[in-house]
Amino acid sequence: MSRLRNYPGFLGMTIFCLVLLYAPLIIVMIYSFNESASITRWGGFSLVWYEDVFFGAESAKFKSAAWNSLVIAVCAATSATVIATLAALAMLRGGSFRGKSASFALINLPLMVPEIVTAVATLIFFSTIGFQRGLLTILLAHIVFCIPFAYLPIAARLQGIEAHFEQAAMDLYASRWQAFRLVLMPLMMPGIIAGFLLAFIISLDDFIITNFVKGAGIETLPTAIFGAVKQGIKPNIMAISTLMLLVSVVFVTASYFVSKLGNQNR
Amino acid sequence: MQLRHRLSNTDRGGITVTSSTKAVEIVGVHKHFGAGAHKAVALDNINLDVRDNEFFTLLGPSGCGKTTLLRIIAGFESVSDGDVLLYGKRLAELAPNKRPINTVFQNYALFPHFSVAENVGFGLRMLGKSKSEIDDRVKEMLRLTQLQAMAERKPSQLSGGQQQRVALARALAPAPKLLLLDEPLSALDLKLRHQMRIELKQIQQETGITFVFVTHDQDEALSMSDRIAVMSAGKLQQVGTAEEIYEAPRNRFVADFIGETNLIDADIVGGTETHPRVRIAGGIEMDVAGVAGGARSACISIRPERITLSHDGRLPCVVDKLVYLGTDTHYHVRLGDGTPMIVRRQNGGSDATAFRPGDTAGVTFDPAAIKVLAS
Amino acid sequence: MAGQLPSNDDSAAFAPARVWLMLPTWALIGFFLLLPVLLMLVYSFLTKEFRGGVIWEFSLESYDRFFLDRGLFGDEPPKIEWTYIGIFWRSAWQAGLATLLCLLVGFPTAWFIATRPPQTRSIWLFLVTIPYWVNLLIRTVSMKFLIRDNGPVNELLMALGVLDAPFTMINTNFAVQLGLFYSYLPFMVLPIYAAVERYNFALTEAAADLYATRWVTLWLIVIPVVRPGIIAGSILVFVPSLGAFLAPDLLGGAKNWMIGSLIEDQFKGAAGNWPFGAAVAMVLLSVVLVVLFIYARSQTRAGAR
Ligand SMILES: Nc1ncnc2c1ncn2[C@@H]1O[C@H](COP(=O)(O)OP(=O)(O)OP(=O)(O)O)[C@@H](O)[C@H]1O
Ligand SMILES: [Mg+2]
Repeated sequence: MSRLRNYPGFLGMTIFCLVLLYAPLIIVMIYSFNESASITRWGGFSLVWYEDVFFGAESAKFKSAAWNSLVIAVCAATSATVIATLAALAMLRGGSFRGKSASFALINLPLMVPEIVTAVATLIFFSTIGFQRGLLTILLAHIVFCIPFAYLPIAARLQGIEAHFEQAAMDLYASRWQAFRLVLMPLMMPGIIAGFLLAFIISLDDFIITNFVKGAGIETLPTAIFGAVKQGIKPNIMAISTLMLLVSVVFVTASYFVSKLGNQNR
Repeated sequence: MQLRHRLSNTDRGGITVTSSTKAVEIVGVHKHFGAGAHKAVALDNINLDVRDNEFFTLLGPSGCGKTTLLRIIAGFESVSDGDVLLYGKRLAELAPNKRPINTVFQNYALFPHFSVAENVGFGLRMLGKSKSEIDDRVKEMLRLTQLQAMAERKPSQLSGGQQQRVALARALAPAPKLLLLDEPLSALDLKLRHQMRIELKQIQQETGITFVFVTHDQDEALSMSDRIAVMSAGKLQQVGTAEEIYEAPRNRFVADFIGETNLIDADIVGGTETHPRVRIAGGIEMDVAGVAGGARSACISIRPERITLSHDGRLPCVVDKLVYLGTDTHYHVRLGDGTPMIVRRQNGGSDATAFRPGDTAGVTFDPAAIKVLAS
Repeated sequence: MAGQLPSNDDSAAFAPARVWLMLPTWALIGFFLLLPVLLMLVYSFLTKEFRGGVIWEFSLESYDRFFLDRGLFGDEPPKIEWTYIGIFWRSAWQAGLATLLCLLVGFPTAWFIATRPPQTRSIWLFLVTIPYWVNLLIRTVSMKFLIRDNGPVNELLMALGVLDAPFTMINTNFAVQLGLFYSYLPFMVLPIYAAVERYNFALTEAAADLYATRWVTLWLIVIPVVRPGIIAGSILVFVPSLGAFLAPDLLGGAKNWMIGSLIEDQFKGAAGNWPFGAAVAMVLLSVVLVVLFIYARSQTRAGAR
């Protein structure tokens, strides 16, 4: 009965939690539509700062940063998803083998090592082997830390699929490859898509590691924003933040519906 | 009996037990879930009394509202309408943790992080009893349920039957006025189930606590209960002793649900209100017991074991098939007009005249074996 | 040998190919993370070169500098150097406090959401998930904007007459704490939510049936049973808080450094001492691994039970 489940004050805490989580974002969103260049006073509604982001003095810088971010996120998420899918098949459909728990630890290593440590270690590594820092170094670093994020939903999905499906397919004269392509792969798809979306967002979000391994003059959106914020918060930063926030919301919604669809298919 | 003495001294929630009281009174209870288009009626005008010291069973098919009624008594659900009284006291305002009622949950709900002894002592601990009092009582309960050796184990280290006993010991430990049991035996295997039936009944008699027991298993109900309430689709169908319910089912549902029976449509062709004359297939007429209520037609019930099958039976029939059941065999036969009937014959008797499918034979039954049912 | 026989195991359909399937993972994470971390360990024992970089000569200089103070000319008896241990201590303290605050707010939130009816539950859950996905940099910048001296919070408080002059929050320990708490709060809510969702409410009913009040039930039954979720959430908040860089850098300013800022300074900032930075990173990594190891031990012990 509900009176056993409800605790006085818990609703209040929940609302406090949500207000705290949302207030800064919503206020920044509101101020991004501020006419005035002051970041304190409200000067009426306008879209000037969005115009500034796309066509203003700094627009070239932000556009190239956004493009870099996008290219890296797409490449890193795609590679990480493929690699994680293969790893999930080996880990969950490969029987038991020597080094399995070591492999599991390795997959999760990027989650266990603090970001700043990964950043430092990667910087040291690239500089020692004399690898020219640039887009490629960022991409490699991103693929590595995206692997566990892609792996989690894919493995969770694969774990929920009983081996009987593939066996039934092979019983009906499908080859191993056909059984994989026609039965297992479609069943895994929601997990693979969720893994991709998660990896994409994680890559798009990353600041610390990127900041260490990027070459001079190469910026992603977060490093560009960080650089700009160091000079002081200007309204165009709020406009960019609002746009990125929207991208995130679109992604959560997408992954929410993907997982919902996945559950229906079961 | 020392146990009973101690129990009758307990007094919680301002309730004192006097002999020959009604333990529980359920008065016009309605319960529905949801609202509007999603409204589902779970209980529809339930009225019943449970007597003190009684082993009372709620019996009915899945989804008929047994658990809901039990949860209302325990305080986990509220009523939509009506009242529940415990020893004459209204329960509505009393929170579950204030009611002198304990429950044996369907899946036991043992606290996984507590040992068996801690589980059993939990209720007493919450009542603020002293440590020594709790220890003594826990020991006593573990002895009663033969769990002494398990005291320090965690629930996950016990078998299903042992967990069941812990749940029982835990619910008995605070010496409740009333013990509610929701299908406590359903997770056990057949053999253990039969053994636990006997033990449960014994514990109930030993402690003198009023038991309200929920089951959908009619054997369980018939073998343990002082009285049984048969429910269907949220409605109370009949309340009575096992014998009353089996021998004198009040309606078609009860006759069909309890034991196996042949339900046959018949015309009422005369007789009195209480002893109507019925005509069944083949034009045979007989005077039977039962209330016809002035209707022209009725449904009659004949138990398979009350019918004899022989070569010279009164109503000719054809044997369709046999189902061998160990102690006896069920013969599925068809009367002249096509009415199907099941006849039960004990195996291994001297007249083990084998009938084969396709044989013609005849069935005979005593008019006293026929019950006229309200539709 | 058994591994090479065709297995009857249901889950071994990909056994023949498993080496090839694992190879990209081993190669990438091994070559671009495990190897770099080992290299970093080596670096922490090398000699500093003047402006970034190293001289390949073994030296204990970095660790010595971290832990000990040998005076200006190195001829005094070594004392413990408190500067860096102090930064570590402050980081651990800040991370611990953030964990505690997240738990105090996160547990009731997770409980509340998990006890809603299914239709509204997914809406509440959706609401807490969104900030989890929003860029951490943007969230931290937003917080900075909010609590500036002439930011909306101070403006509001002054307009309401609560304050006469702006209350300085930015560049204080308080701001760093707020930033950490705010950044990692969803990390606490989600694992606890998952645990509460699996919680068997019959246990709560059984406790009430045995005369326990709601709060006693919460303390004696609910919290012990959902403890794995609470511990997982605490680790997910504590570990990233300990190595946080953005919150102390953007909200704490120059005075309120945490380990993250110290490390960053050795590589990107003015200090430019790579071996020392590597050593500090090694100390941080060791602390984190110890925490994770204790956690894993407690998990296996709980699993064995
Ligand atoms: N919380 C609820 N919300 C909506 N409907 C419910 C709820 N609980 C029970 N019902 C409905 O009420 C009816 C009675 O349920 P109840 O659990 O009492 O049945 P039962 O007799 O105990 O069945 P079983 O033998 O399967 O346990 C069912 O139709 C059920 O679907
Ligand atoms: Mg039930």
